[in-house]
Amino acid sequence: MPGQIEGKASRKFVERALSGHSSLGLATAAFLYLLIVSGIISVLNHELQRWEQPGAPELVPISPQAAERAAISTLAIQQPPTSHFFIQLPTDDLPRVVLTTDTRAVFADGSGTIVAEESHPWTQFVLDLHYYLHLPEKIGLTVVGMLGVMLLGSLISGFLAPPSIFRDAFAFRFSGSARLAQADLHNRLSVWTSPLHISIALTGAILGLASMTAFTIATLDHAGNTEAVFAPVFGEEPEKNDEAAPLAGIARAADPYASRASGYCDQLRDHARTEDKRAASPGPWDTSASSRFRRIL
Amino acid sequence: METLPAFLGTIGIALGIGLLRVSWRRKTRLHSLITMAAWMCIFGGIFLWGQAGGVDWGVAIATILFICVAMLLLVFNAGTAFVNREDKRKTVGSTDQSKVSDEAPPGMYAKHLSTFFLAAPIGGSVAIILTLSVFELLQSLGVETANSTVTTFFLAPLLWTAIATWIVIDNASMRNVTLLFCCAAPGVLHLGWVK
Repeated sequence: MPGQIEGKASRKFVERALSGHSSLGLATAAFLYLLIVSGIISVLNHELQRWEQPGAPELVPISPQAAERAAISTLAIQQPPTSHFFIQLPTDDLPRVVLTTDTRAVFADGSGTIVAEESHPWTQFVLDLHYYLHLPEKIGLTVVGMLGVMLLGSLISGFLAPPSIFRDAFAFRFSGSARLAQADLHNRLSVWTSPLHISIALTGAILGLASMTAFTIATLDHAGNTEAVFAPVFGEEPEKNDEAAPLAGIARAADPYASRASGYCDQLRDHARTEDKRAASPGPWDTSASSRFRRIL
Repeated sequence: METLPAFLGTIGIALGIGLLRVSWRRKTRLHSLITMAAWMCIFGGIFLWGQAGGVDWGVAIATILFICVAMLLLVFNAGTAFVNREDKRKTVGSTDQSKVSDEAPPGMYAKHLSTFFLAAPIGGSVAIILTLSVFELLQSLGVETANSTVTTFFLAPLLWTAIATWIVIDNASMRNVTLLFCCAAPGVLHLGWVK
């Protein structure tokens, strides 16, 4: 008798878990599909950017001095003045020099001359779909985080639902109904790819919900200032000062990059070898940087 | 990348998957022992891959290997089942899932919808209240702000997932509302007391 009651309770639990699993699936499947497909395409976003703008200068070793020249040129034509400025030096998967301000991004060539505006609307469309579902930034991030939570919930309820999920982990039945074969396909694919699903859902949920959590902490502790919440983790921005200041030593700041950029080292090594062979006109690297590379490599 | 640990790691993962297949297929007296050995082989393989290719890249490759080996076995089993499908159709009965009716019971969609609202927006709000309460608790215990903040960022989705999963599984509405209230009340009281 206790066994019978236990069996009934267990069957009821399985039914409830299956029902819950399908609720989550029905409610979120279409959005999850959009997120997942755009996520898969986003993995190749650097390659897509390069395809969208094939004319941009690539594989050009840029010296710290040229990077500084590019920065000065970019800031000279920047209107309105920018409060943030980034120089992206070439890497293996994106071998381009990109200078980004608050309002625009431009490419520079090896001599530090600005050659074109960065523009990759299709890649940006895919990235925005993946990050925000094309909703306003904060709302979109929160919705994406919520979908991550729902995916994680689906995974857990999916593991709890079918009683023989492990016993049948290697089984795939073509006998019986087509529905059974489809259920087998669903269960087997879900179980064996769950390590990836769990990590993707969890990290997506954490990233997506961080801004909502920060917003609530800010409302409670910092009078709505979310930057104050992120400051202890990522560091805070200096106080705004409208007085003009001389440009920071970009060449000096960019110099150590040469010794740290592992992928780019190969290009620079080749460049250094070419320099050795030529033993004549100096390359884009000044003597000290070039010799430092030779020591490192 | 070091070749020997990667090779041994691959062997460990393949062996582990094979042992899992043996253990999960039929329960024997050695079931627990074989399952434990299987997981040890798999985690050992992942560890070795971590040594060979780094904790990020190596572990990722090991995880993909784990999935691929299992999928290979699954495809092999599916092929065997496909070849023998005519014979089996006569002998194999339906399972729990094939008994499920194709027709939706009345009110099912409304129930799904209410469950979703309890699990998603309301469950999320309760999770955030609890998370904030934990954040304030950590702060009052003198934990560094950066650490409390990061813990909170990790905790919010985990709590929400736990609440949402509970609600969708136990879809008795009144009990779920009570559960949400019982979760939220201490958080609200704590936050009210702190502020």
